[in-house]
Amino acid sequence: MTAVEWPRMQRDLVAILRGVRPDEVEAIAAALIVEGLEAIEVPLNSPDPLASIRNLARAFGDEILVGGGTMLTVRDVEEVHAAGGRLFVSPNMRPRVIARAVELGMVAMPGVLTPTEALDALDAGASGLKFFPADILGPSGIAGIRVVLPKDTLVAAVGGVSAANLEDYMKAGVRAFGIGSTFYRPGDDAAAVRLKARAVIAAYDASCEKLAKG
Amino acid sequence: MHVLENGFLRVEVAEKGAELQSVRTRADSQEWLWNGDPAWWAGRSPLLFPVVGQNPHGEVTIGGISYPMPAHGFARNSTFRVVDAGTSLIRLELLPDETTLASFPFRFRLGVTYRIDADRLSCRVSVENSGTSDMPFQFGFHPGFRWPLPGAGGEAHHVRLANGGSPQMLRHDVAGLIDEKLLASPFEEGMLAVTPAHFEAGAMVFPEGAGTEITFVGGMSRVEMSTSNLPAFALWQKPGAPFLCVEPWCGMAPFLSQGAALENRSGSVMLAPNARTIFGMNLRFVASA
Repeated sequence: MTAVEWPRMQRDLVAILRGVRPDEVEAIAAALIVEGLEAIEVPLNSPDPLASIRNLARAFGDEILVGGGTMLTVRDVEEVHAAGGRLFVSPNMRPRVIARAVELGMVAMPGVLTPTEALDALDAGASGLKFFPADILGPSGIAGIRVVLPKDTLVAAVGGVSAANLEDYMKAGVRAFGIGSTFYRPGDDAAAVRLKARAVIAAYDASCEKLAKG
Repeated sequence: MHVLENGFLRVEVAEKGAELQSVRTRADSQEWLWNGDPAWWAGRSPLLFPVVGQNPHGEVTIGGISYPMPAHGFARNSTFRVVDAGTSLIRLELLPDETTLASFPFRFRLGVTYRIDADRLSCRVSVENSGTSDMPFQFGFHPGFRWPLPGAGGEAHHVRLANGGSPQMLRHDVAGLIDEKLLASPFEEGMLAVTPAHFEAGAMVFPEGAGTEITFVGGMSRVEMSTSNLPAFALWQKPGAPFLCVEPWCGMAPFLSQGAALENRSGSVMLAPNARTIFGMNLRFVASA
């Protein structure tokens, strides 16, 4: 079974639309896509999440990576895949759940917090590792664990990440970020999401540029 | 022919090859895309799939078996099916048929979406492996832009890399295979003043390091391109032709020493069963005032 590679996106940002409703998800996603987002996750503890994922996959599945978050079981994986989702995100790491996602060709980003979990998740076929909740470890904690991971492991941080601390995480070797309430909170309309996305992307780009110049 | 239109842009897309046929800015009615005059080059903006570039003796091998493969693949000559069409969006798809299976023994789905938003044109391509074995492929965009750009007649034209890089360059041999000898970059701190002389030895190919933001500038006019999942890029014209192709690629023709195996070609993607990968090119057209 071949692990599915983390896609080479222009920006490694995943928008987490926790609490989004199926009737608004397309407008919110369109606003994010126009601003340059290329991956969107709908956590399964949102209202009617599979309907939202189905709507997103139908409207944007050929343009961006769409999938589910808070995916805990093999059944979650199968339902999200059947709805058209191609991204698996979880808060935890269960090898058989990861393996099923990989078997279905999904990009797999399980949540880990320790070296044991990180290495086991990679063994199970993870495309990348989501350190969660990242603010427990902070940039220095993640940097410490990275030392023992294969060099090309894609490392993401989720939880407490905002425009203010992106750069610190990048310096610690974190490449990808899952961003939730900084992009979207229930009640936000598409225009509000677009403005927030623009600010985060500007901060992300500025951090990348600063680090590239050393 | 399908038309996308808003207050800024008018874009035409053909079902053959899912190829852009025309991109006009509404304010000045200027055409930005090459017109496909076969005296120079009959293409306008072909999609390159499942290979980029020439193939040794017109063949690729996949899993050790030889298949005939046209240069730049078959997608550009295939008729796509329209899945969805509106005034700001069109989605098309290509599925395998007898012709594709003769060259490429895989079940795939190639989805193409063009979308306009204000003055931006987004081109996104998804490739899905619907089969049961790993699928090697390459993909590239190949848009040709008018040179000189609208409103920039008589002006020097430049290609500018936002990352300020000076990526090393490769060239093709006469058969279209790539000489692996890396050449000094023609860019200086991300700038290249393009002239027809650059293309007397064919395309300039930059396997990496050009970044994701490339601008073709003439006077006060410019085409801004940003790309996703396309690490290589090439510049090409027929020397002296009134167009310049700015081509973001994932993959390229084989090196001279490499043979015909598609799996081994530089930049080939090996897509797992059921997996999907997405490529993007966003364009913004800025006319001189």
